[in-house]
Amino acid sequence: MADQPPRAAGRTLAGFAVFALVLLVVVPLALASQPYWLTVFSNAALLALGSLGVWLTFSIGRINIAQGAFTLVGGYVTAILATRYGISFWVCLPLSAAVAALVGGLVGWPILRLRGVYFSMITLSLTSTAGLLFLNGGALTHGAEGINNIPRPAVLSSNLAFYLASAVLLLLGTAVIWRFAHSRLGYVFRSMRQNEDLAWSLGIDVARYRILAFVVSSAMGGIVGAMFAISQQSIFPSSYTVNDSVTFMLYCFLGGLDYVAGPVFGAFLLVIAFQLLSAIESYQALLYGVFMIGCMLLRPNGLLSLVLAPPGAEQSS
Amino acid sequence: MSILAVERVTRRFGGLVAVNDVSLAVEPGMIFTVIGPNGAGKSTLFKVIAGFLAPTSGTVRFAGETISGLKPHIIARKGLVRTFQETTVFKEMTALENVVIGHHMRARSGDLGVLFGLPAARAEEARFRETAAEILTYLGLGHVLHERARNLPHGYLRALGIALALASEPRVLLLDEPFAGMNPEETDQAVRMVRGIRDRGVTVLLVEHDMSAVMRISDRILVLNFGNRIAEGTPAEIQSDPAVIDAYLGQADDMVGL
Ligand SMILES: Nc1ncnc2c1ncn2[C@@H]1O[C@H](COP(=O)(O)OP(=O)(O)OP(=O)(O)O)[C@@H](O)[C@H]1O
Ligand SMILES: [Mg+2]
Repeated sequence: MADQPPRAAGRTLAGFAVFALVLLVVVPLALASQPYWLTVFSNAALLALGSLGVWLTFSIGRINIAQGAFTLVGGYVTAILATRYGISFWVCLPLSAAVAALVGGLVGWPILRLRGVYFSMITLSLTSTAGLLFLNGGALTHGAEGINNIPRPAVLSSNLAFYLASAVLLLLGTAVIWRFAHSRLGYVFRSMRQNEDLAWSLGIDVARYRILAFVVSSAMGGIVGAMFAISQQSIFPSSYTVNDSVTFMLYCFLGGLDYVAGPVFGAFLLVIAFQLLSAIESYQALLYGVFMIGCMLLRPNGLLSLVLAPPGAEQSS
Repeated sequence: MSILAVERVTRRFGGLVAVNDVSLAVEPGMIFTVIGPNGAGKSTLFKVIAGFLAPTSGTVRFAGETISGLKPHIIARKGLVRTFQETTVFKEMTALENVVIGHHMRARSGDLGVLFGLPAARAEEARFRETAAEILTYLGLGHVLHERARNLPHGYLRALGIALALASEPRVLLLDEPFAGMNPEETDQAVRMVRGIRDRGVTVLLVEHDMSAVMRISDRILVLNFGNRIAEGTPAEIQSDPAVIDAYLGQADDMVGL
């Protein structure tokens, strides 16, 4: 935060600069002639963006397994607006975020009163509910056929351009979430996770802030959905399933819930590992499971806790 | 005019009447204490006053305005702040961070200003950290500012809980058993602290079991038993009240300190 010890603030800025450099310069240079791997990195960047949102809901103490529903919403908004009304993607993208945010607010308002496993169970069911709604959306969504031929804007037609757009969105998202976590709002969010009643008693409007967290998370899901919609150029009710929602959550757990970088790290690690492991495809799920269980047992605070000190406890010097 | 008035408040839990038709009036600048045996309804009364529970009937007025039925954070913003009997602090945060959170309702900069780190919001944040450090130093916690609350000894946690509430600059502070689990030395210190808070102009409403501390510190005492108000008066009056002695009969003598 603003008055963090200067060295820590400087380190964070340096870390962010390195991250930006790797995403925007190193990766494009290294993979310029490997369109397949560029796509893998685009996917990783977008999935990381989605998990960053989920991470924000974690920070208020809610395990959110609904992100797939919001990517679906964002994807359909872009698909419908672009194919039916010929609206430019650059208008569709913010609208996808806005509609996903609105849905997040409306759904979040009642369900965020629930805590713990009750909240998680409800969010778990949201993804399939969203899928069903789009399946039965009539002429608007074309049921199981989905929406095809979603136009991709000309500037994003190359894999490199699409990757760069994804990377920029991820950087922006990381910056926003980092500010959330390290400003006084982050204190407020963490206080709600630790003791909601005490937060209320200190004048914090817990209901408002938990909706804020959920709405921001949902908006990020909407952006991810819009980007994938133009990358696949089609969307179906089954484009995102409960599995995807769970995966968004797992990236956070894997990287570490205490760090903003956690979900980003987790997403890149798993997406890339998945590609490398695809050679031994039949064992993929097994290896994946063993790996996850191992991580949870050995590093319950996420892999980043190997190299980073726990946050919050700032150095006094 | 009383700063806080509880008028014929009843609170039921199913068949159980936890607070039965209780009234009280607290004048500004007082230390007003509610005592009573375990389960007498003291914490329930506090929760009703602070808006964490709705009264089954009756009203609570703060500075003349009816506050029963308002949400706790609205009541807190009006200047009536409560600490908890059980957990009083955010365990995973440092002492300083805890007290910075306590400043929340004094914040004037909007969420967006805070999010984007606008100059006004930054200045405010810096001010909060300064006064947080001041409050902690005042309460004798100056040397553990950056220690995580979970690592602090019990006595410190109580003080930290009070620091947290003080940071919000309440007009009335509700303290639920602030001396519980303290040794006599710590209690003495805490008694001085509560007096100091009152001397800063904060009206204090206290629930406490430690009778010797209660008798030393209180301006007025209300006694509850099974949800009923059985006596009210100065410490001297309460100590000689037959109904009170009756209610405490069978309790250990040092509990009562009569
Ligand atoms: N949420 C609740 N639901 C049902 N009963 C409750 C609830 N809260 C309190 N009670 C009951 O109301 C009565 C009064 O409880 P309360 O916590 O107010 O007592 P207390 O005077 O604070 O006791 P202690 O000195 O032990 O803290 C008790 O019998 C308790 O079991
Ligand atoms: Mg109690």
